Amino acid sequence: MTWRTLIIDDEPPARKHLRRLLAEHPQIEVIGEASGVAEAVEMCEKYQPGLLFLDVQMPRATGFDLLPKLTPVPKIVFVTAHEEFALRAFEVNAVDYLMKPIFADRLALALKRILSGSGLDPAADDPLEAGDAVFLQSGRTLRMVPLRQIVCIVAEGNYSTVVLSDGKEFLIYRTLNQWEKRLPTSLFVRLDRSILVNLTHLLEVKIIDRDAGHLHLTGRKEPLMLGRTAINRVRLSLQERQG
Amino acid sequence: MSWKGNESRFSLSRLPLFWRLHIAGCLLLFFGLFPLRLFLIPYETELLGSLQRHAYYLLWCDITCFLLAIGLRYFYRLEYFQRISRVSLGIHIVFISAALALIDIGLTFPVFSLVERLRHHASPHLYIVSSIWPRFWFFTTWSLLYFLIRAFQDARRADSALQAAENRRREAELLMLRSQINPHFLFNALNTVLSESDGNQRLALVVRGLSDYMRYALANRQNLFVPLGQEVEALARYADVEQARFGGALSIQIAIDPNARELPVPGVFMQPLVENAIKYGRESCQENLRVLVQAAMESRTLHIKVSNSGVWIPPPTAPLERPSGAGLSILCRQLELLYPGRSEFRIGPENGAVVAEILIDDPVKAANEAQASLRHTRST
Repeated sequence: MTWRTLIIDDEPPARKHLRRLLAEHPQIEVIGEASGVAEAVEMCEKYQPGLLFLDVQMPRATGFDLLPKLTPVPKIVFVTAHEEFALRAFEVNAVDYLMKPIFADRLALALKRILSGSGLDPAADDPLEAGDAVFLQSGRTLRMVPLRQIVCIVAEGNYSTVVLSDGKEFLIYRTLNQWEKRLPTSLFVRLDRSILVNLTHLLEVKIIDRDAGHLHLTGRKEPLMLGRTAINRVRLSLQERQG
Repeated sequence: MSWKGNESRFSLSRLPLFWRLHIAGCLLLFFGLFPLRLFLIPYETELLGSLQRHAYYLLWCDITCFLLAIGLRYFYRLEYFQRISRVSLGIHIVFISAALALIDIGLTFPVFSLVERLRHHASPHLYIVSSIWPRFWFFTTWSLLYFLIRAFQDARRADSALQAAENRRREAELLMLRSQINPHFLFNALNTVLSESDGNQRLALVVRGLSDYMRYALANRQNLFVPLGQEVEALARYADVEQARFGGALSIQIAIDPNARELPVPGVFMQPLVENAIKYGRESCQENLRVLVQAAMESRTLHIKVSNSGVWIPPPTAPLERPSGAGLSILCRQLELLYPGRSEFRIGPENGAVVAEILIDDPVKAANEAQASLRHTRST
């Protein structure tokens, strides 16, 4: 099987370099090049590539901006000169990355990983940091989400709903316990069995009575109803942050 | 100014705090209590000179106390007193004060019996009972004040040392930022070089060494410590670039004890050693220059050694402990800062080679301490 591949980079020499390196891999068929996100959207609609080499830093729009516009989601190798924040893939095996300058052996390794479907190791339990970003894939949408944009995560059995500050929600196959293990405690607090909250998105805590309270979060009209333990936990973690 | 000239010769403010406090305290005690002590003790007024003799005796008492307390200071400076707990210190103070009170009585009793020989009730028993308490309290209070002030001073000194360390760290960071090339620019440019190289393998090797080393340096500039293995890995990439520069005229070998690979070392710190070895080695070496990097643990001390087959050229001005070159002096400062009193840097000829060596005493413990002290400065 050959992979119909698109190269997206704003620098012509970079595209030329990648094209030459990919010529060594017979399973890769480069069907085109794009110099920016707008052009890439058009070409993706037209050719439906199975694999993208996507430069992250491009003028006008970054490689990440392309993601929500891709349906279906192809496999993506991000190409970046330098990471502003660490990209830690999260339950998304359609993603890998390469650092510039690109060397033949490292390209071969990334190709092997992504084409075999293993992608970046999602089981890796290395904890995320406040400045990190994760990829969230829900059905046919893929997005790169900085952790700071996550407002809260609500348990749904084996799944969890990730709520972003712009109101978008992602249903992810991942339990709240798994999230809790990896998320930085400097941002996220587990309030009770069913919810993790990003305290930087906490707008207001209303105490209704001894045993209940309301939590107002960014981008959500409805407050969260909380029990006494949860309210206490909020109070404690806010105190810790101030102290 | 003449006033300043005077100050440099002698000034009260140049006297260590201990002596100022000790002398002032004893004088205060002496003048404050002397009249009281002189008249409180009954003496036979009809005996002329008795008052004067008693004054001599009291003066002698104060001098012995003054001197014994000074001796006590040197005793308390023993490292032992820094190790023991507060409770234990308190118990020690009580016993030491009691012992000193007895010694002082021993020293003053002969004078007392001499001075007061006309007073027949001067019996040793009565003397000891009546004199032990004031002496005991003097030494206890003195000891407590001594340790209190010392603790206070230690805390202040530690604070200012940490402050200085923090300031230097900021300074270094600022310098780094100022001289920093935008990484995007750098790595994209290297990618362009590769794309124009038409598959030249030698060029790819240089670009690889350069970009890997730069990426490592950029990624770890914030990290105080990295595992030695990582540092050496990055150093090998740097060595690739240097070897490519000089072709066959330079060979760099790296030999690291596998047991030492996990040890924490300062991030991005070994490169100046190799750079220096190449720079000076090439100046003095007639044939091919060989550089050898070694690291191993020897009885709890990490030895990092960079030797080159050149000839030792003594630095023109400074002695060995102040190595020439900005890179090495930054390295030394970094070591001093991270491992106060636990590291050593030396450079010089050894067995026909030039050897630069860094010794770090118990690197794991030292790294933990440095990190703890930095956390402390950041939180305060």
